[in-house]
Amino acid sequence: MSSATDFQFNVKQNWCPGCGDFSVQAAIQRALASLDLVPHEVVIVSGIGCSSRLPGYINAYGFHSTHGRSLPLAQGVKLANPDLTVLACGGDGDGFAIGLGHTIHAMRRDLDITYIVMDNHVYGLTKGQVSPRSDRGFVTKTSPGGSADTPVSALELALSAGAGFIAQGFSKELNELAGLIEAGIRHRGFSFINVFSPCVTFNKVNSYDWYSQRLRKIGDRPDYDRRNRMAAMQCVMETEGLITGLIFERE
Amino acid sequence: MTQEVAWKIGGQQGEGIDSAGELLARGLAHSGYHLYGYRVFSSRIRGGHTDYQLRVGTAPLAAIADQLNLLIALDQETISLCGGELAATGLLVADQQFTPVVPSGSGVRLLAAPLTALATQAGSVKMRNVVAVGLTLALFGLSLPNWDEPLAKEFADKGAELLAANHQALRLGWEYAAAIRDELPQSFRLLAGDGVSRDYLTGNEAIAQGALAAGVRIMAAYPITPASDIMEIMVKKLPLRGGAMIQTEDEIAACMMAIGANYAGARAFTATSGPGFSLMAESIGLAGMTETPLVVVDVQRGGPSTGLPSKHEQSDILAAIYSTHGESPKIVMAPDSLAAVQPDTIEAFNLADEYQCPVILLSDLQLSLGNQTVEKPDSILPPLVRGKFVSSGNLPELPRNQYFKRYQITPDGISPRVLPGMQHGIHHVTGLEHDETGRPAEAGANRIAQTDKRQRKMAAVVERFPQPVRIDISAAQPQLLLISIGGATGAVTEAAARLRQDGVTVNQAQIRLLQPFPAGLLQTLFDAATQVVVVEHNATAQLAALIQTHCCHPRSIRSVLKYDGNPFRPAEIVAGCKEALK
Repeated sequence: MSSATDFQFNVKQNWCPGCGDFSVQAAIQRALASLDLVPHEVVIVSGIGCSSRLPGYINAYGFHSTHGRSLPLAQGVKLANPDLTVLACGGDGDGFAIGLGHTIHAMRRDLDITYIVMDNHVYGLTKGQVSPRSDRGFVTKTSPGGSADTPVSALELALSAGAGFIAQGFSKELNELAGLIEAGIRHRGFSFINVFSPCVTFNKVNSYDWYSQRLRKIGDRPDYDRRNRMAAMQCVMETEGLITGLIFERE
Repeated sequence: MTQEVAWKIGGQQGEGIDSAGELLARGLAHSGYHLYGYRVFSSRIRGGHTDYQLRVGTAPLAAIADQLNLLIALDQETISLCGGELAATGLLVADQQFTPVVPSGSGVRLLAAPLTALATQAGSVKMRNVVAVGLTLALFGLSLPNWDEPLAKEFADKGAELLAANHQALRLGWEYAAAIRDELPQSFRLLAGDGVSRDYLTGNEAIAQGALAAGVRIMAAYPITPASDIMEIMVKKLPLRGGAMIQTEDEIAACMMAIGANYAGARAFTATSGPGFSLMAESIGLAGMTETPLVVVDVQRGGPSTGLPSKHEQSDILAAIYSTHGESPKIVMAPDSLAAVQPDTIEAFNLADEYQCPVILLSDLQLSLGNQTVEKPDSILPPLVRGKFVSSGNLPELPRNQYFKRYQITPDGISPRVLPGMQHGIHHVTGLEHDETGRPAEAGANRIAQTDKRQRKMAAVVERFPQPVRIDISAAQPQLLLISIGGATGAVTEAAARLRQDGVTVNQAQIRLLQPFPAGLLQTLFDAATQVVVVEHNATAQLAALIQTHCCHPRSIRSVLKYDGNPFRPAEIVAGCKEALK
């Protein structure tokens, strides 16, 4: 049996204290151990950004690539060696701005990869610019008058792009998140997991408390049918995307 | 009787111009003739002028002809565009149907032939192209049976009825011309071929053959003229070998997917043209920094921007070398003939693995889309070399919290390579500067050590590379040294032969390795020659600039440039050289 410590590595993260990405890392390590995987059979591919440093902090094969391009590279790895467990990760700038095209097409192509987006609604590594996930009115160094653009709805996008596994987690809910990542890896095909992972330095609005007050859980809806894409879309729109759990999984 | 004929058929796209050329060529290649075929086409599906030129001879050919002997026009536009290419002794055959007009005073001899009428008699006006091929065969003095097989191949999936109708069209065209050929110029009667059946290939087909022979399993690519043929071939062939061709959402994805597959141990590549190559620049730098093997085929076309998508140019020479930011090790190679393409493609994959770096295989539209007869492959292809791979069984157990030294500093700069999935091989890979285990590292001493290590890998490439400069030396101290790359080489070789006939002493060199640059090999040639002429298809003399960066020459280098989108005719190079020698 493998344990989460097998996937630990003695590198000090360059994340700010309190960053949501610590929990995402712990959840991934826990999920990998829980699936009884061994480190050398796991590849984690990332793009560029604070969260994309994650593969360097886990004892597994890691590839920190270029901004927005984790998914095409991860698909190449999986095509070449389908025996590997392949994860891709990055931030919301990586997945929904510079790499948005790849996100949609990876969902369509449906190779067996688990894609984890650490979504903090802001650009952290470049020290505080507006992101495609920033709410309207969000003030940053590059949106001094408040963001004027409609934010990308990550879940609606994934639902309409035909993704076969769509989930959303929250850094503060480690158990739920580890379970979602585990289910994503188990899912045969492309799985997409968006994680609200607060930036404590550059986003003073979408804080842990902000999410705690607003997030609903799919688990609280006993009649929810996660096989029904239409129902999933309705649920996501009703909650304005502020919901966690397994949103959709194809039969 | 003649040793050589230059033939062209022209019309609108969608009228079967291409298939007429192919049909004629397949039978000729089968009958022991040497061929060079070149198509002109527009970036449109239907409509727009297109033509197919075929040079037929009893000796090898590698360039378009100076002038045409026989031009077949299915429309008036072809006469306007191509009539001027006819030799004084040539013949224009045009479809009676459109009442062809020959420009007054042009001296062109016209045969208005009932192409439409004969095609209609065979069953459909659509078969005008096949009637024209039958007519051509009669004028060449050839008989019909050698075309049974090419016809059957062309119409294999279209039913027996259509095949029979096309046989009829071919025969009607032949009979028509056979009856009147004694009244026509005799300059098209071909001497008999040598009876050897040859392959008739494009460079793109040879690239695909090379990639398959190299053991490629993954190709990721985005459609672009003039490189798309390669993905269209690979999508058929790779699944039979447990691999796949993936059409990606863009060229960035294609390049990154190929990098990912190489990282995981499969031989993988992408093929593109200028605009796609520009998009790949950042990814190519990643492959350089992470020392991941990668092969990128760039089939050059007219640039910049969308430029001339269906026309020939060699204007990515410097971009292939310099387009990536920073200082990344890279090998740039340019096959210099169709026969070289397949072995060179295999070597591209070998070099990528051996030197763990990106390899740019620079082709051009003329080399990639031009058709040529080549001898059936009996030559020995290069063996497959995978470089410093460490097999799983040889890896010592790593202490806790220690990674494998994937970027170990070594005397030759090349580090041991392991693959994901191997126990005790775990390491990190990043586009950031990194230490020997791949972990990000910013310290100055490490930066210098890793930069030097990456650059050091290139030191051995010139010596390792098969013929970095292919040399044809006929004089110890020639008046002229002619230099070219890629698809221009065929016309340059022919020009060199003519210049020698005119009494000029000429040495010839094709540069096949552009980065790292084989300066030493060229310097010796320069020192011996009185005048150096660099022949290339661009406006800014990129190859000459590259040479001047790396080599010293006491006398100036003269350039013969062509950038109108069309390949060189040998006579243009002869004229350019004579001007330079004045």
